[in-house]
Amino acid sequence: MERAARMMANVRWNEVALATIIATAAVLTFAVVADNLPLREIVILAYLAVGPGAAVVWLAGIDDRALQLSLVVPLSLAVDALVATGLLYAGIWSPTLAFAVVAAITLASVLLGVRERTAVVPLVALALLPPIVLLMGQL
Amino acid sequence: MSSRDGVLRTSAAGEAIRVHATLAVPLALAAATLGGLVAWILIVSGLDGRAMDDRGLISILPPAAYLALAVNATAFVLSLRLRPMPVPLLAGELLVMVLMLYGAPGFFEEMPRFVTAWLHTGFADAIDTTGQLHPLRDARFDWPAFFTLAAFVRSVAGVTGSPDFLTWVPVVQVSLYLGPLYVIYRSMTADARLVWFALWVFVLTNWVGQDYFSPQGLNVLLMLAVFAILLSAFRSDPARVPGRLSAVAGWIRRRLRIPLPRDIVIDPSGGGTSPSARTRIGLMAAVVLLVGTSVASHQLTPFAIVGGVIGLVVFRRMTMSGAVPIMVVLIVSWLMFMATTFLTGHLAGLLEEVGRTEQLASSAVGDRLGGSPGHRFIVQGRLLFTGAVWLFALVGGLRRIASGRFDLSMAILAAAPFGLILLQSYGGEILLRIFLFSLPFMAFFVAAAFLPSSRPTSWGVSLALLVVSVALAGGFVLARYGNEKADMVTAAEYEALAELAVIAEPGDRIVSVNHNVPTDYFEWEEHRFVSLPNEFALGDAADVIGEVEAATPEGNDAYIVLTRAQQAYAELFWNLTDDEWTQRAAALEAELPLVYRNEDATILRWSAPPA
Repeated sequence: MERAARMMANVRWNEVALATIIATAAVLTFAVVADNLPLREIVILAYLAVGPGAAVVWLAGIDDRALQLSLVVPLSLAVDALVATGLLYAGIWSPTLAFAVVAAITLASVLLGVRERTAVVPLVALALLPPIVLLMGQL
Repeated sequence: MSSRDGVLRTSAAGEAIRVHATLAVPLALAAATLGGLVAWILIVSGLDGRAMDDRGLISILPPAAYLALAVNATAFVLSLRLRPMPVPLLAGELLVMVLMLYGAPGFFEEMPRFVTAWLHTGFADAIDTTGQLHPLRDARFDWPAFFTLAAFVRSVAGVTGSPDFLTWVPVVQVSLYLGPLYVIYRSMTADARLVWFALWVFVLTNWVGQDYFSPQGLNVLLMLAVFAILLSAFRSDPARVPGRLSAVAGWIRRRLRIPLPRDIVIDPSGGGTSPSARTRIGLMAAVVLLVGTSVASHQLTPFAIVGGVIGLVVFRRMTMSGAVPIMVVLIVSWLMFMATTFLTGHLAGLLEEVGRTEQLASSAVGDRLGGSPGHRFIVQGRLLFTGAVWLFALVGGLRRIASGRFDLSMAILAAAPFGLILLQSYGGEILLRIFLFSLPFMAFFVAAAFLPSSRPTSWGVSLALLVVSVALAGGFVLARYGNEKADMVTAAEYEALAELAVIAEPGDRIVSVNHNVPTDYFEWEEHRFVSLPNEFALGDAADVIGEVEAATPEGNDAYIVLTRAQQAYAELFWNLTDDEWTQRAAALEAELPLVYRNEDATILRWSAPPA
């Protein structure tokens, strides 16, 4: 019984990690490829408003659902703001680079937060390479 | 086994009837809420903004609109009576009320309102265009995180070039406040009715309008997130009232014959969390991240946060005392190393202002009591509304104590922003900011004035909740939209300024006769803006032209902008009549060539006379 519960917990963790990674890959690809599509704005805005904060909440291991939900957007905006401001003070104002850095922080937070790694996560991380390369080509 | 299961055992017909009855009430309340929303949108979208007088929105809002608000207030109050608590319904009703109250201008005004929101968009666009900060032109660039965030998001999402998003920023932002507020209230009480009614009170009383596209709008969210973490995960255990206070309570009980309970508990347990060591580290990091963003994006909010945290630590209501030095180091480091441009120019003035509360009183209250008769009525209404909120909060705090609950953490956080009064007048706006920062916690006590204990809600109490809800909603409309005639921006004004951006060359001066015109939105980085309120108010065209000449460098022109919103501002705040405005505008037009005119705007050009 305990073993089954542990397995379930692991599945949940990995599913969340997987979902975040796939979402990041999709958004990055979308940002580069779907340059003129109307949904592009909404997808990118939603990702910047939710993605980084969800990853930080995940990394922190917050279990309380209400606290999780209430922190996702403020933490996302905090990460976005500090990355953009940091680049500006560093003399490198590039929204595209800032987007790549935010995506990298999101992914790193998710990967660091995975308690029991399986082969799936590194494989999906590898799947991120093409969109990242695409994105870097835009810089 | 639930009562619903019991019904299931009686008969199939009985089950159908009971389930229908159970669902019928929430569905009816949801339908009433949606009906109220639709009615509100239909009514408000038919309003004529140009018909507003100097009392703002209340001068054109028909009684049916207040009825729509009352319908939704009734649905919310009735929803609070349902068991179990219909959380999705209550959340939906709250969000609908946010949309009605905070989105109202978006349903009838042609363009986003409030020039400062446009200015902030101009700042963000300037950062995106130049890749630089401009602290020498505006001190707000020394706290740039909000503007860089806006520049980054607008640029990467490809939404630059349109100001339309400004209309819905207050709705989105206030909706986001409700998440951490829920966690804060839940950490203070296990009574779900009190939690939801406090959220409702917050929505109905947040009239100060700082939730527009602004650093402080973002910072309130950051502040609430910080306190949501601290109060839910780092709160001290409930405690008995210490001996001395207990003796005072005994004296009150005996001498004043007020039936205070013998056992008063400080911060009785609500629904907080008990995080693991790993999670506590993660939450501490989240607090540092949030406070760091606040420090980099706003001058005042970090002081409000650290003041509240110091209060919690001093009164031993928080276990993470290490937060204080971390926050102080962040604030001081930013001031010393990043805000140097501002400090160099303003340090002496800032130090002079510290402790000068008499100046604060005159700038924050006295100066605002001037203007046209309608505007003075609105200002008095705002003071009354604010005073009523604070008075109800006091009553709520006392009623909670009388029921054996001393919500010390909330009292500390409600009181801490008043310490800002010692710092500076903040351009005469410090009282507004104090109200803003203390309101989340005051709202809890206002709600507690009606629901101090967990006794079942009587119909009398429900009626009181309804009456106060309708009164607060009406007061909100009066207080928040009292300057709406001046805050509104029309399409004609926008078109005129867009045309000016095309006409004006880099380096030309854009001159306004008061600041209430969104000139700064257009190519902020290329132009210099000059405001000449005194010269125009005094009515001497020669003085205005003299100032324009003095402010314009050789080789450049200046454009003087006169708009409907500026005239409305002059009426509200200077009590300038239509005739007086027309005379002043005509005097300028007689001296300077007309460049552009439409129904809401006139643009004149000043050029240096030929040598």
